[in-house]
Amino acid sequence: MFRVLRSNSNEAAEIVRDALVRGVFSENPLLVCATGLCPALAISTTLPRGFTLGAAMTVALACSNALISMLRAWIPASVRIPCHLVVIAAVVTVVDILLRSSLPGMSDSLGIYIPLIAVNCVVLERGNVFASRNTVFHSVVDGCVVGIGFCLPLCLIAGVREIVGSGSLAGIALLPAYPGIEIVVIAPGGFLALGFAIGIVNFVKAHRRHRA
Amino acid sequence: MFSRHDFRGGVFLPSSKASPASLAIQDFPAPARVFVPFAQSPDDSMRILVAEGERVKLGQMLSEPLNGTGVPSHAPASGTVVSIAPHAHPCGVALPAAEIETDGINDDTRINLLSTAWPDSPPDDLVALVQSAGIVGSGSMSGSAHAQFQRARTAGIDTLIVNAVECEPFTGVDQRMLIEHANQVLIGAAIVARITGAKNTCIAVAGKRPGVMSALQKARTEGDLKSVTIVKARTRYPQGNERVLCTTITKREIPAGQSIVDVGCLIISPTIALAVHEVVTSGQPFVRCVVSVAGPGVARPAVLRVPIGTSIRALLEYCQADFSRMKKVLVGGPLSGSSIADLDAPVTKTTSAIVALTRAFPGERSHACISCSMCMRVCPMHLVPAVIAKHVERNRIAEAAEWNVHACIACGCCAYVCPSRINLVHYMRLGASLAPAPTHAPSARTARAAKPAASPVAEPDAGPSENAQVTA
Amino acid sequence: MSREPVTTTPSAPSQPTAQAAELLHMSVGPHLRHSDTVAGTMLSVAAALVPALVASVAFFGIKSAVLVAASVASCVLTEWLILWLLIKRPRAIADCSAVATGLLLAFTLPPGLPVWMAVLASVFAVGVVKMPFGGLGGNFLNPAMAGRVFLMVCYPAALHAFVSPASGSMCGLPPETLDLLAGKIDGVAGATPLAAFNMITTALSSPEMLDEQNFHIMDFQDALVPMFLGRTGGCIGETSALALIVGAAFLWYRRVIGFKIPATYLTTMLVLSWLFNGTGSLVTTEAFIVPVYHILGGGVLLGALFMATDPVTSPVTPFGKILFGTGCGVLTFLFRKVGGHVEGVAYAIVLMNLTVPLINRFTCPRAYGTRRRRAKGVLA
Repeated sequence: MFRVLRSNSNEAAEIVRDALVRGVFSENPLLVCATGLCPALAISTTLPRGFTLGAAMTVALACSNALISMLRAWIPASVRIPCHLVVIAAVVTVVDILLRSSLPGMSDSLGIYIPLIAVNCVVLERGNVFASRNTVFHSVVDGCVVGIGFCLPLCLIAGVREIVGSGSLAGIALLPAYPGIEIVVIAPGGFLALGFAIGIVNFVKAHRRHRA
Repeated sequence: MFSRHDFRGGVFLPSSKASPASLAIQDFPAPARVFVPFAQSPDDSMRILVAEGERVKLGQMLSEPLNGTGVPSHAPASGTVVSIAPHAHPCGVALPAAEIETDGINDDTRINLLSTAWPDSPPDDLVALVQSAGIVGSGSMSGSAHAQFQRARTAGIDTLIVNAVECEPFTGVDQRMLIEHANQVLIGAAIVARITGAKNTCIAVAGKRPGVMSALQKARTEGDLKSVTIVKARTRYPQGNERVLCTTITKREIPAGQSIVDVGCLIISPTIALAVHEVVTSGQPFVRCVVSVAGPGVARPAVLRVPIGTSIRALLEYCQADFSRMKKVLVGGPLSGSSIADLDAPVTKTTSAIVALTRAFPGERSHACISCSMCMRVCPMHLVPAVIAKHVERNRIAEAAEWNVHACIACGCCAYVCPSRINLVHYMRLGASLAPAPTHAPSARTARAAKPAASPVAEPDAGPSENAQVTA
Repeated sequence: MSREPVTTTPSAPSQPTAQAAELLHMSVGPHLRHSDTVAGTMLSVAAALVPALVASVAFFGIKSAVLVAASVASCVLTEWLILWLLIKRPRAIADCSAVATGLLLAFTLPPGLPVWMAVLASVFAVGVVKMPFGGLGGNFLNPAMAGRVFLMVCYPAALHAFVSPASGSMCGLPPETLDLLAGKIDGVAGATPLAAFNMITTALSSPEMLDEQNFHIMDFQDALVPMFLGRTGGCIGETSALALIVGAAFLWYRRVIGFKIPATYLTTMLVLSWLFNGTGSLVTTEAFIVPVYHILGGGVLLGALFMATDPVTSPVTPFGKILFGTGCGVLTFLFRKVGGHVEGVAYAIVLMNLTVPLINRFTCPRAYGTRRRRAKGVLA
């Protein structure tokens, strides 16, 4: 990986740029591929929770992609998925322990959803489809951008839900005497917000296709 | 003897104030020029028997068919054939027609009569006579009459129904014909019953028309035609449709893809019965038809006995039509008829009503379907047109076929009641034309009818020995 | 003389001659239309709700009219904005369906509700439940009921803060009965008849209460007439049963609603509340008063006559309508008896709306000439 970076950093920058466009816009895991919906629906009630999950997901993705890519020569194809799961579970356990020690309140609030990253289809899919066939550098970059692509919309949706639902952002009350709309904060609001987000993305895509 | 019959579905249409059934039939003199089409539809192939410049007599044969199911055309008035060229036709396509300049002399030729009276003539001779007169049915009983009689004879029917039920506003020719010519209509029906071998004859009449019942009663007693049953059907559109009327009277249903003779019935109109009577008793070919001209665009509606080939414009002018206010001219009733573009098109053998409308429906945009289910309530075929229309609109033709789009008779009841003004008939017809035709095991009657007619003598036991109920 | 056979072939459509200068319309039939339109249907619904509106203004004062006006205005505005900006068909607002939605939504709200809550519910009903699914004809839930459910989830306390009518008590009961009840059970005063009734019957089912024969359900029959006429507390559209029945009769006459859904809904409610009336027997007079209470109290009449009969979200087929009405009745009774809310109509109707495509698929009628019922495929 360092050899690649030293020899052609322009190429590396290009790889990163392409991966960013792919991971955040054209193949966004949450809004376009519609993977990883379960934690997204449950966690996106407040901005700090959403950001923390997104960050944890990014770290887990980058590390697991790196490991799977390093081990790709030794994992037989027939037992690929259980091996990947073992790797991802190990990475997620480390992430969970780190989170519990550094941010215990947030870790309690997120509850089961951090360990559930281990069986999240985003992580498994990137490991299976991308990391097992590409170099370590590519895989790390891919993991980072897919994680960013998961984290950004999650933060947006969580922010909107928090503002509309309780009138505050990250715990800071923005609108005084805001009565709050309960339905946005609970589970149905998650479905509605996610549905509207995907709808807006589709609308923009159709509009651009129509204009082009 | 009298029974009240009905079907499920349908709409009561508002009847016009001066219904054509209350107007006496007037004779319309042949205009200066008549354009007589040789064929009934673009698919017929005919041999033209006259040349330009030739003088023809009234009733002279102008063309003869090249296949067994076509009918000849005759000159409706005496005169000179000016030209033979394509001319406008109500079907929308220009068909070759003979332009005859009438001279008013009207010397006529008749068809040779049979040597024996019709109750004793063999049915084959009667069929040949009917064909040579050029009798054609209209509406849902379209096609040449003799071909229908032949099919009915070989298939073996037991019920002959004379359909005088007219439920649409601005129509009423069949009922007027019953009021004025009940006796001839009943005799014509008896002739057809003799041809086809039907055991029961009944005449279906719409509920409340004064004069029709008394005329029929009088004709029955005077003409000693007691075997004809009079059936009073409710005046709900589309009672006059072939399938609906068959189910109303005989309680048998006709599956899509089969025809009415497959269930043992034949339906004829009083026009056909009258024309059969005329040709059998006096040898007159079918050269005049009775047409009602009515509608809001016409100031003086009338029922006219018109020579075939008269232009529709002449009839409208005779009835003082307001050409500036007229938006649509229909050949047929307001729901089942078709709109025409060229008023120079002539009256043909299948014309029975001309309606001039001053409002062009549908005039407004259609809204989305609100699933009010009115279309389902009025559909006489018990379909759900809203669902089928949605499938056809989204190009899901296989689902449309599953929802029985082929059973649709295009009566227009669904589009009539739709509050969202969706053009359901258009979608149903489109779906029926795109979907593969339904496959049914042919009924026993159809199998018999498909066999070539072996001997001139009709099979004596061609009656319905099988169960008359429909098998789907 | 005969010539060679000349086959007649179709040629080009005939051109009109020089004198045929009329411009005639051509179309596929039918060439007549019935006068019913979608706008006419929706305005009939609005007209049918006018007696109930008048009754509620008479009983509760001008604030109910203000709430109704705010709800209608916000529904129409939301729909028009979405049609204009997103769907680019602003003239589709002329089908007046937003007016009917606004009226029905307002009728499920208590008259003292803050106006902004009604506006919020209208925006949700039109902007989330109706327009994203295709506008008119596309909504999968009754928008008015969905708006009410939205408020039940977000602000349940505000929905139960009932205002007592100008004349007559909250429960419609005479003061002596109220004192009697207050002595036995807490929290009776200030509730609607239904809430009071629920509390009573729940309390009476406990053995120690049954021993004290001082209170009888017959005392409740004094409240039936006020509940019928509308002098009791409740939501704007729920209090006057008489006004609702008059409006529904008008709609039935105009063929906008059928009788199957309301009849089966109310019959099921009556039968179930008679069978499980909680007085211990089926033939006493109380056993027959309890069902009447269930019908007149709460939003059952409004729901059965106006909400459940919404054509878009109720089944299309006749047998399907009967199933739908029965299901609504069963669910409403279940939610009232066993559920936590006092009122079960909103959730019952919303749940049955979700089952309508399934009901449509399995109850389609037999087409003419066929023997087998169509079995496959999903209703579009």
